[in-house]
Amino acid sequence: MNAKEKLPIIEYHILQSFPVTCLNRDDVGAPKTAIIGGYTRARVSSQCWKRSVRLALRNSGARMGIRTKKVETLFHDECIKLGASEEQAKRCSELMAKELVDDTLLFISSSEATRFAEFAKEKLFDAKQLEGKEIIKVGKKAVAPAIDALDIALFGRMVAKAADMNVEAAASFSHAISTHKISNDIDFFTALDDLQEEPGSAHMGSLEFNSATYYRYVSLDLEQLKDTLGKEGLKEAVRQFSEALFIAIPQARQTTQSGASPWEYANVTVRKGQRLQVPFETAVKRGEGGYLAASIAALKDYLTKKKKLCGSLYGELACFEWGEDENYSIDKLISEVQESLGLS
Amino acid sequence: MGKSFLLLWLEAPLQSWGHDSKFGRRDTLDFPTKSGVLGLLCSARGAGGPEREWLAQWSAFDMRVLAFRPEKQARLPLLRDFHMVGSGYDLDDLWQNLLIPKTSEGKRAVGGGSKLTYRYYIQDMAFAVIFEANSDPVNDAVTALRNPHWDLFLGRKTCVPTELIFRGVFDSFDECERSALNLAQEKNRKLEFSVVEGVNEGEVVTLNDVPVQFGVDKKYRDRRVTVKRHIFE
Repeated sequence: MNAKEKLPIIEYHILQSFPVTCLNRDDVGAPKTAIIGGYTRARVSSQCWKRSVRLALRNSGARMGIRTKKVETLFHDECIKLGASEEQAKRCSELMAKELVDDTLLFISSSEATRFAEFAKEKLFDAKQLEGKEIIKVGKKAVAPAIDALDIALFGRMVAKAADMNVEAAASFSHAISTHKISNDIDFFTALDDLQEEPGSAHMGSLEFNSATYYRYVSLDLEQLKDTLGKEGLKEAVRQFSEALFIAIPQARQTTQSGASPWEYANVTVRKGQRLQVPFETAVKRGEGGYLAASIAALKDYLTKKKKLCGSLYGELACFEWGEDENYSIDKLISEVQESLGLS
Repeated sequence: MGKSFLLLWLEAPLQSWGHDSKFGRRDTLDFPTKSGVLGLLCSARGAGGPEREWLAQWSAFDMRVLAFRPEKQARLPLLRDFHMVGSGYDLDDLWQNLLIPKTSEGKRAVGGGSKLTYRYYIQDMAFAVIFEANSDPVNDAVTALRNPHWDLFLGRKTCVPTELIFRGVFDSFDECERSALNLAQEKNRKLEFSVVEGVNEGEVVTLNDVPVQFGVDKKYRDRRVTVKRHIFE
């Protein structure tokens, strides 16, 4: 644990404006809120945006882990590939699976499954020679090369039966909050009956919505990511994660309200020390450029001031601003972040 | 070995200090638990094991909490965050299907299988935590807090602090408390209540939040604390 050699964290401070939307619903279908600095704010929970990022990662071709109770099938197929007979594969996979899961889902990558099958092969696919403690040990070792399961490394994993296989999440999301006060609005609607005999509407209802400029804070702990992925996977992981953050948008009510707004502004900082989000405790007031221009100004002012106040404890190594220079694309941002980390 | 007073400042729009959660209802106390704060220190140290000896030492130290709310607003109720686990996935997509909770036999649950959870959060509060501890362990904690090994968060990983947590080491309790009160004043916050260990005048609560062992098999024991209200409205 040498503090000096520890890899830095990447902090993403993102501003994103959405028109009429209900990105994340509570149990009565209304947009989620929180009270901050005395005023009600629009809120999208961390879980919600994280799920969208997870789905976006998969669609962009990142290799993902599988969360399953059917580890047995996975092991079975891998054993066959390595030359086991049907009977051997069946007995070995049954035994190893039993050692790792009972009623729970196991989140596993395909390279890990291969590792387990290789272990069975070392024991000549003789189920009697597969001993409980050794199987768990295999699990412990197989975690490190889980390079083909970026989502396990980013979002973590818990294996109740084999705690050594637990992976601590490297990414962390705050609840996204509006930088300004909001009050949810109501969209009253009626529906007509096509075979109508009497005048008037056949159905009436209402939907709650709001429109907001959100502040999103996401951090990525590179040291933790390295512990899981190994150093080789880091550079590509940073690209895939950043892209997914850029693309992913919560799915609630997208068919009726279609909130497809991209990032407007982002401050991406590479630094050491304790991570810090921006509170936006003073609700931003709308000015010439709506809430967005005022929010960008408030975010910049806050970070500049905080950096000065924290002095050496802020530990900034590099800082990038995206969104104001039209010649500075997201691709450029990502490659400069990668470069600043010195990853090859 | 002399006594020191360690000051921590815990501030974020949302915090959650669970102490008695069951299943899908993840609750929070009104203030940071002792296990939560010691967990935070372990996170800073990069210590993920049982930590029995370290905990034995730190659990014995007296921990006091001062709770500050914004000056211009009454204390807010807890936020209840509603969340469904496993809803809206495509059943025909193998990978997505695996993200839906199943019954213990691996079959689809009756009525779909989404799991409802309620997660509770404290809104808009700031807490000063004062530890009366021996100098050596305090020095180790300070080093760790300045350059934390793992992410520091206020009860749940999503509760990212908006302030530096470490706020100094003092020779006396009064000095330490004064520093906390000054900080609160700068931030236009008012002392709402404080939590002291043991039975005193005020509301006495029994909490099962003294960690004996962390890691996979967590163990706790009880302590009694007194909550003193400072603002009566």
